[in-house]
Amino acid sequence: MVDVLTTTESATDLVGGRFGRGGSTLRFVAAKIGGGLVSLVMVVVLGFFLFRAMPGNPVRTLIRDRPGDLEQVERLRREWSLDKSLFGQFVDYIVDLAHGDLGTSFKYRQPVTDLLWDRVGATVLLTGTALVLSVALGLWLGTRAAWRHGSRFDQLSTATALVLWSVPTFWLGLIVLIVFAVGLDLFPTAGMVSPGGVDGFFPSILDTGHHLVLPALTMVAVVYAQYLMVMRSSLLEEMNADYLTTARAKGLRDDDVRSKHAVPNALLPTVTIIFLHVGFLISGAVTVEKVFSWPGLGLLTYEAIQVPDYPLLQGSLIVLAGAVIVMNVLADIVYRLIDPRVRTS
Amino acid sequence: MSASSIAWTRRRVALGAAWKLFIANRSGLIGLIVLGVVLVLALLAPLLVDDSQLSVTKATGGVLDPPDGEYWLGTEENGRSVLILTWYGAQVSLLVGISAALLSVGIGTIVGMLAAHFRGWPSALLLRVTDFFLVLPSLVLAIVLSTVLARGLPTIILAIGVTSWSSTARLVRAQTLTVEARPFIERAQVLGGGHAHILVRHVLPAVFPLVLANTTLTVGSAIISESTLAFLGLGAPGTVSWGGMLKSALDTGAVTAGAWWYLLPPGIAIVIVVLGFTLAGRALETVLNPNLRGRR
Amino acid sequence: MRFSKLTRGLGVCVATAALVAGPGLLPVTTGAAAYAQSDVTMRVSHTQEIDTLNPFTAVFLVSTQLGRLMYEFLTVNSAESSSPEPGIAESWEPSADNLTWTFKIREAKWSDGEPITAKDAAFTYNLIMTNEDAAAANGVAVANYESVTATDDRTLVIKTKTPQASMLSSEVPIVPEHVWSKVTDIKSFTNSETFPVVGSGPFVLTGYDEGASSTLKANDNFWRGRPKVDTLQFVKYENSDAAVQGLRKGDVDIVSGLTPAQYDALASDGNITRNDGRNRRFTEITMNPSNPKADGTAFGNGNPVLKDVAVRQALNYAVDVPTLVDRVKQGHSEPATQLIPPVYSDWTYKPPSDKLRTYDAAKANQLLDEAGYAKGGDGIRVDKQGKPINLRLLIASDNTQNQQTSEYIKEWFEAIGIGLTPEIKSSNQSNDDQNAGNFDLAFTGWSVGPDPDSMLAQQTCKVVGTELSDSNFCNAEYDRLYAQQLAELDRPARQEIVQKMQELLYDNVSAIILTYDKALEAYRSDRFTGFQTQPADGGVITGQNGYWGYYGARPVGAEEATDEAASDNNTPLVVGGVVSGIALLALVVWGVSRRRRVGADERE
Repeated sequence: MVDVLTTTESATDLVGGRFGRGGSTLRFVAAKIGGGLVSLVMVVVLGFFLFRAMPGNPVRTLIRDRPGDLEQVERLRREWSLDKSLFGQFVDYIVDLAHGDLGTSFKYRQPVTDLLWDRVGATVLLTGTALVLSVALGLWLGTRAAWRHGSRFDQLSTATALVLWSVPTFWLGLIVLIVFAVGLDLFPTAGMVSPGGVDGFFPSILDTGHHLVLPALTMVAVVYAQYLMVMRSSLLEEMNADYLTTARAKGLRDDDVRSKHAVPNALLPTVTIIFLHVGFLISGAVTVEKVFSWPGLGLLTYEAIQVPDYPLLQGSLIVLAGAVIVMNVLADIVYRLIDPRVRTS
Repeated sequence: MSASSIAWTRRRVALGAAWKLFIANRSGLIGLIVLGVVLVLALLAPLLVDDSQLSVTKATGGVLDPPDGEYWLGTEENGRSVLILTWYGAQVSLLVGISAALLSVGIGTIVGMLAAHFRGWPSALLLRVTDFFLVLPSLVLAIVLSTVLARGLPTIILAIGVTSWSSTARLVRAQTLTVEARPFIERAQVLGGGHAHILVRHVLPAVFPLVLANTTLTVGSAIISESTLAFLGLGAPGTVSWGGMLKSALDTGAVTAGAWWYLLPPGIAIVIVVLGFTLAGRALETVLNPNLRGRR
Repeated sequence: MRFSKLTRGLGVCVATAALVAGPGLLPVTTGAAAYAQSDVTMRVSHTQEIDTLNPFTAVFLVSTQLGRLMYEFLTVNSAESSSPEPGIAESWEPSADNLTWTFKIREAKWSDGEPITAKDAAFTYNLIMTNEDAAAANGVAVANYESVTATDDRTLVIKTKTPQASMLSSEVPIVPEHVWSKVTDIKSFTNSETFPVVGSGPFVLTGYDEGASSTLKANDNFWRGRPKVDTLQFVKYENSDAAVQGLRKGDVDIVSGLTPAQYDALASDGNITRNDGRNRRFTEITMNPSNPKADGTAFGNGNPVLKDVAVRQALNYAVDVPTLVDRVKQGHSEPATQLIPPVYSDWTYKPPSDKLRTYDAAKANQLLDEAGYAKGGDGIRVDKQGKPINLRLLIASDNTQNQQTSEYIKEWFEAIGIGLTPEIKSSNQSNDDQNAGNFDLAFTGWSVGPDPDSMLAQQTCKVVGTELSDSNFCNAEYDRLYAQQLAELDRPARQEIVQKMQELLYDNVSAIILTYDKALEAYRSDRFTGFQTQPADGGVITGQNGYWGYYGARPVGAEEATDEAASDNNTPLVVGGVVSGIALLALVVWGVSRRRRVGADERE
């Protein structure tokens, strides 16, 4: 769910106002970190109040299959401090958060931190792989398409990218699942490991890889288009620049011009876009994890919605949003450090 | 001739030139035609589709039957025709898509213009909020909102609109900064124009073409969001939508039963409609932004 | 430069091809490994989580199922009819005043060789009675107990405060004192850290991979005799579609909780036998009678027309249950009439034919007309205050069959002039609304235990407005009968009282009881057979009030199974090879053609 396929003239427009030209690097870094902290605080507060607005007493669902008595019900309520005032609960929440305690999940009846920690690896594996592959694919195709602007290749890659971008992630996942897993039986239909586990270190790695193929493929197919289009438009903008005409006039070969001058300059704002869209990647992970039953944070979040298990949802939102905010702060700092235009001013 | 009629003549001429450019762009034309067809179908749906074909108690088909002479796209779990439901579902998708996009672009435009127009801490605050929403996983936030509020079409429209406005805001802010750097704005200010006057009568018409192009593209992504939310079970009860159809297909075991006639049409419909909006939107951008012409 | 780009591109293509085809070339290790061992392993799928394996705190269905396999009870429910029969207790005798029960404990051993004695039972019960944490799961069972003592190793004496007819249906896992007396904090004890876990049931827990699988091995010391299956493994799947695929592939041997479509899709598979067992669950639509709480305070915002029994009757007549059974449940269900499902043949109630309410829209219309609810201009009836009648129907979002059903209900109600507004909410939100009385109609359902007491208790006035109440029903005569049946130890006399109670509920239309859905299961009959269902006639294999399903299972010739597993491996190999071949071919073609094109550009 996003953001539109970049409509800006180039990526620099989008990121334009974020980087003050001039001013010391140190002050810049401090400002960025400060900004990130403010965002994190906003996430924490948002997390609490948003979920407290969600009604949902888990007690009855739990006892449905084994009717208990009134004392038992009261005991369960006390356990989850559902008997305190809203402000009292908020204070408890902040205090616990300072200790790294995100509360206890209603559904699983375990500490939320443990649950998130167990599942984060699976999501990182999926989104990390998808990110690397889609960035590589998107940048590579985008570069080639821009350089061969107007050619058959360019038209084909742009068209494919647009079509794939118009496909809902979950539907593509369903189709991929049916064709490759159910129909052709080439891949497993669900999960991260074969049921019952696999013995041995190397076979278990391969087993996980085997399970990873379809979900990662689905995510890449939908996401790479964004990177392709951004890279392509950035590079096209660069290509019309004067300094490249100079380079060509000097006798430099096309390929050299492209790879030594145009691409690196076009790459800078593209990289920032990539980090900006990590949030989108995580959103995509929720649907892909559901379709492929991939046991990560996305699936955990989805299942938590059904209850609603608000300690778990709070923790999940804080972790996901927090990760994205931290990554963006890092990206901003790195960009500032490597952008030659900024350093010289 | 008065000043305003001169302005209108100028606009009309510009519009005509823009239209000619737009037609020349092949993909944009295709997009527009596709959208036209879909819009007509969607508008005709309530007139041509009989209530009994949507009723579960009056359904005559078998459960999850493959396509045959009577049901061209087979039947779903209640025995209703998949073709009829897919056709009928176009209404919800278009309605939600367009409404959510208008809301999103509306918020984004206002925030963007204000952030660029004012200086100092209001601008910084707006920028921070925009940044915040830009990086947040918007689907997660939309899911949470849809769960807190009562299920229904207004909730979905609100959830999508409120979580996807930030890229429009960024865009409009950049454009506003460019526009406000032009001398005529300064002249207006000197002549005593207040904030509202400058924003509404000068900045807004200048950013409007870009906003229009942005809106067209946003509708596409809003339709995908709506179908995703419906697929995850947060759709409006009692309405027929493409995402909802896919959810029902999954829940009733269409995957295990191999009911491809139920799983393909709603998805293909989404792709066609979103592609239509995307192509038209990109063509619109090309027309309105001369810099982009060589690059598309 | 050109070469490096070409090699880079080549590298990507090869890597992609290898990534896609490579894993398919590996032999499917799971299937092969399972049958290479000499012991027989049976895998059972489950989609619900396991909350914990501590029998004192586990409440989820899968956890309690595992608990039944790990720990034996004093008395168990028979396979034939779910009536009590000896477990750890060999025999029992109530005193003359029915307040003291003496159990004779049989001679048997724990899985670690220690003898099972009455002291273990006394320890278990006293722990639940004194430790609040330990009462989390089974506190209700001992609520009426005054004392539990082991007078010697073979004799257990339980004194109750008042006579308790449901004495023999308390399902409390008895744990070994020599292990559990060392546990200091019951609340946080997971019971799944050190293996094997000492128990007295047919299987012993030997491994637990949280969120993935639980492994149990046959208990040689089980007093009924060792099960025929050596290893039993419970495997977690995220949804039933994945589990069905697993069954087809052979990753798992038993699957339960199938949807009708999945169940029907498995019909053609020769290796799979399906079972649609009669379940102990019923589904219903409750109607808010707007009764006050036990202390007299009114609560909730239910529509007052539902207080009129004529309206409730009319709504019942307007629902065509056989159509729901046919369309929504694909025939895998039975129309229901009351709370106790027919699997409990001793307690179930069948209304006489002159009282039975079946689908009759005309009669529904007639009842409403006679009761004075006239139809307005738009076809919707108005209540006594002139307001159009529009009822809200609560539906839990995770129940897709109820969502489907609600579409039918809406059309049927509109046909008799009652408007319906479905409200889909999460199950907890739905429960909240029901507890607070802020609803008109609500989908719900319950699993009924072998003793009807707990289900009947949920219709008493005492629990109105709490999580325990089924439909906020309250009736003085019903409460009187309830107290009577609880103290009546003569089974036939008690059965009569329970029948009267259900008749009262039926006459008052306490709810529209919809169906008894069958439990849809399937298993690999080419690998296992001998599953004992409960009840014996048309019952279920999984989810029993007992362990008969798993205990009775035995393998069908291990040699054939190995051959099958081996032959399954060829398909991925062949396909993988073909895909790699095509990828390489495409690569060559692309590489050759590309170089030519580059040359042409250069020449320009």
